[in-house]
Amino acid sequence: MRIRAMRSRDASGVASVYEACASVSAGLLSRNPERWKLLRRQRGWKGIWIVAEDHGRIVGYGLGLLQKGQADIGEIIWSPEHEGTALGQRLLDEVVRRLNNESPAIVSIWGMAGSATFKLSKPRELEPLEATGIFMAKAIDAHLLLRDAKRVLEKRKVRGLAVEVDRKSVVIGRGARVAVRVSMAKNVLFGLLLGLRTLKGEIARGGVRYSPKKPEALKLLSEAFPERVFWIEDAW
Amino acid sequence: MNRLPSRRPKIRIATVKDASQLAQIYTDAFAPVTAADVRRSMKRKDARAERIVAVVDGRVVASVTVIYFDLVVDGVPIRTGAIAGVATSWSYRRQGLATMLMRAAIKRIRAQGISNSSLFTGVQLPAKRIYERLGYSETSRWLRLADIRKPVDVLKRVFDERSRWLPRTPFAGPALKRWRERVLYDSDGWRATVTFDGKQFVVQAGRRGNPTIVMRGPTHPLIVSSWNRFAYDRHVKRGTIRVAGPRGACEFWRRIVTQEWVE
Repeated sequence: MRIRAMRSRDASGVASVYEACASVSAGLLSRNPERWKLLRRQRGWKGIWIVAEDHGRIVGYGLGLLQKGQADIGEIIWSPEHEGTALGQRLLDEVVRRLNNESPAIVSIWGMAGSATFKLSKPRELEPLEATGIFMAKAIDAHLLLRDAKRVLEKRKVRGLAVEVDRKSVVIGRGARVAVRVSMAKNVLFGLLLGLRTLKGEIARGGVRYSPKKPEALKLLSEAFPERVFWIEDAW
Repeated sequence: MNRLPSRRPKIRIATVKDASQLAQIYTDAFAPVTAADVRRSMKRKDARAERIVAVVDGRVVASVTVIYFDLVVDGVPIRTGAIAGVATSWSYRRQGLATMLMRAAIKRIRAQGISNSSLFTGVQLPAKRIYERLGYSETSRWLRLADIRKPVDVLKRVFDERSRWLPRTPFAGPALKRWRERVLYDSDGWRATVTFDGKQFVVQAGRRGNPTIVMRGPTHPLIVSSWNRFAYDRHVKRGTIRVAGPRGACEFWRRIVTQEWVE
């Protein structure tokens, strides 16, 4: 495997890596070709794009941005099959090395608390500054949210779970017998779907109530609302 | 919430013709923006967006943008109505216009069969209270990790941005015309002097002349306090950074540094 500068013909490979991450994670933005174009040509910033190539296939990419002495580490993304292979660390190191060549006044990385890229950053000795932003969400309509939740949970192959929000409920899995009932506020359901809230945390604080209180029920809930695998800091 | 303006604002979707008035509102609220910038962003092709505006006496005085994105959850697209660019003209603030526009935005999102809305806001912005009142809950904090290698250059960058914006605003511009103080940043291994020459801020390395205000402290708190009001107040309270100088001058300096006017 080698890490090198991105070429224009790598664009589709880079998009494929992103889509592979999106297929196993939660809350990433869908990107059309226009969005990729905007990302590649951010006005006023010099972008440093690198890719990891394995037997002619793009398996990861990294982005660094430079503007008037400020260097920002952007997305560091690798394909799910390379999770745990230190590819992310290699990509990050290469992005930082290339940014350092420009002698920046400040090198920074910005993202959600707990993001995987932050874990990679620890060895770089970047110090935490104050929290700068907050991501806020609101579930607007329980009925519409349950419709979205049903699609996601069926994709996760969940069956026999009755989800109740604001006295409206839906059973996951066509024709399935209800094995577990779970109820929560709509904002909690939305947070769990996106992996922004954790099932364990919500159960502990009483945000999620379920029955029967058996280990099998908890197992089904954990399958329905797994912890977030990939974190990509899409901001809009 | 404060009362709405005596003449009930008209709410409608903005068109390209509103670009110059929107540019003024955004400049008051965020940073210098031109009408051309607004027109360009109105023609974005990566996602469908609509700007909802409040119009009073034929003038656009507040705006909220809704961008329709697909969030991908395990490969399943979930439509979201992302809220952005919540801005009100300086003279129409604290009259409930942002809340009114947000309600209209949420109504539009729901009418399109979208289950949720999301937004991103600054920690230090009081707009967060409006969003909480409307039912948005904080889902995660965003952090910045940094390695500050050339603090004086970073300060130059920070005050270059202030120079491009603050003198052009209705709130800071007039006060800055009379402001002739000298501020010394005094940290471990570096010093910088900040002045305002009537048009722009000038940051010079080292101590220059007799400072009116002296800010002392470690590098990170000093730099972070230059763009985050909460950080500034917390570090001053804890004594991590010490600010010395005449009271009135220090209070005005705090507003310059933290851009409290953004509120």
